[in-house]
Amino acid sequence: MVDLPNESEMVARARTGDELAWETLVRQHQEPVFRLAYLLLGDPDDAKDIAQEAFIRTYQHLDQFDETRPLRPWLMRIASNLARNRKRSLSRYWRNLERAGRQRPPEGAALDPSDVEELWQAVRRLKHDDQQVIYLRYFLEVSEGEMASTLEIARGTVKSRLHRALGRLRELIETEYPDLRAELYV
Amino acid sequence: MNEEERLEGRLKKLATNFKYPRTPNFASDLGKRDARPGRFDWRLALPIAAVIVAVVVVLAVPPVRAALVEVFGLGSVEIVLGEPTPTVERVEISLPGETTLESAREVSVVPILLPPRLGSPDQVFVLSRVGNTVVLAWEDEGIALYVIPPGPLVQKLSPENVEQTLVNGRPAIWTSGDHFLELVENDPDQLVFVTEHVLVWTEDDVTYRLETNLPLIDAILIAESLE
Repeated sequence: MVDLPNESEMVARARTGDELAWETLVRQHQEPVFRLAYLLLGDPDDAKDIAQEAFIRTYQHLDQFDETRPLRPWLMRIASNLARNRKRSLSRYWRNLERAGRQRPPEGAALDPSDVEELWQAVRRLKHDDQQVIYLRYFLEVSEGEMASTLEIARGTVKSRLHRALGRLRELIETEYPDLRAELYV
Repeated sequence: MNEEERLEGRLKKLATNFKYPRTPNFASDLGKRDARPGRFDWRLALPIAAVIVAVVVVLAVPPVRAALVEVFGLGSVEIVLGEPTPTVERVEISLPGETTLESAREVSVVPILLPPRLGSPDQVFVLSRVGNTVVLAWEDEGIALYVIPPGPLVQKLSPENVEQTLVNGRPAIWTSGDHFLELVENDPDQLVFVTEHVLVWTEDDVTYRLETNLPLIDAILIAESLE
């Protein structure tokens, strides 16, 4: 039986320019990275751009990566930060359009609100950091240890970040989503 | 079951039934862009070659040294290579002019933007002798961000390594290795010993200088996130 190389060996090989090793790593991690980008941006094309950019930047900076650590948290962190930057540049773009006299589209314009689960609409109105912990924990089912690596925080802080994010989501639902509130709490 | 548990249950149900778009195959995209690790950016080849030639020719001619220094400048930061190391003790000095973020924003002629990932800085300084350059420091993360308005010149003396990179698609400089940062020319009291990596980039006419021990990719992401 042939032993398959582990991730750190694959990273070491990719670092030396072994494209096959890198492609294997990309295949292993592309789904959660793309899904996180999609959850954060709500648009498949934007999510594709961001995930692709995350893989390219990770590859370009692979020499800075500690290969004894898992790759996925690093990829997720880069994708999340790129998504945050993308949202920021989009909001600047819309502000500029507003200045030019055009009307800003509604929040989450890439999505048809009628197709979107109301609870996701509420989550999408939270700040980026709150969305990020909710998506990692409940949607992508990332462990607390991996969340700590992705968010660069102590493991013990993960629970409190999640608790705060859920608190803010609850406040938002109570004030702005009466139907959802009735469904959840009655 | 309390409210938080009910909300968690609802989120899990949403996640289970969530319809994601099909994940593209990014592995097959490799090679469509020039992404090899550490690959040299050939768009920069000619300017760099010109600089190397200029260094070789000009180093022996002191009167034209100023012109050489300009070649290595980015925004308000000059990088002086080959400069003799100043003979001062290698200790970090504390920056003068500690203030609050609100006060710094009042005196600064340029907007003071923050990286959302780091939040509000732990310490803020206004360097009045350097054109009200604002320095934001995050202690736990070991990060300092210099926001340098147009005009004042900050010199970085003899970093060990200098690399070219991109921030928001524009040229930027990444240095590593111990070096001195000369805030005011020929004033040893304004000399800061830096052990961290430094990313220097410009946005409009503002020069940013980020000191950090994070890898370059993280420094770039922080730089690109300022808002």
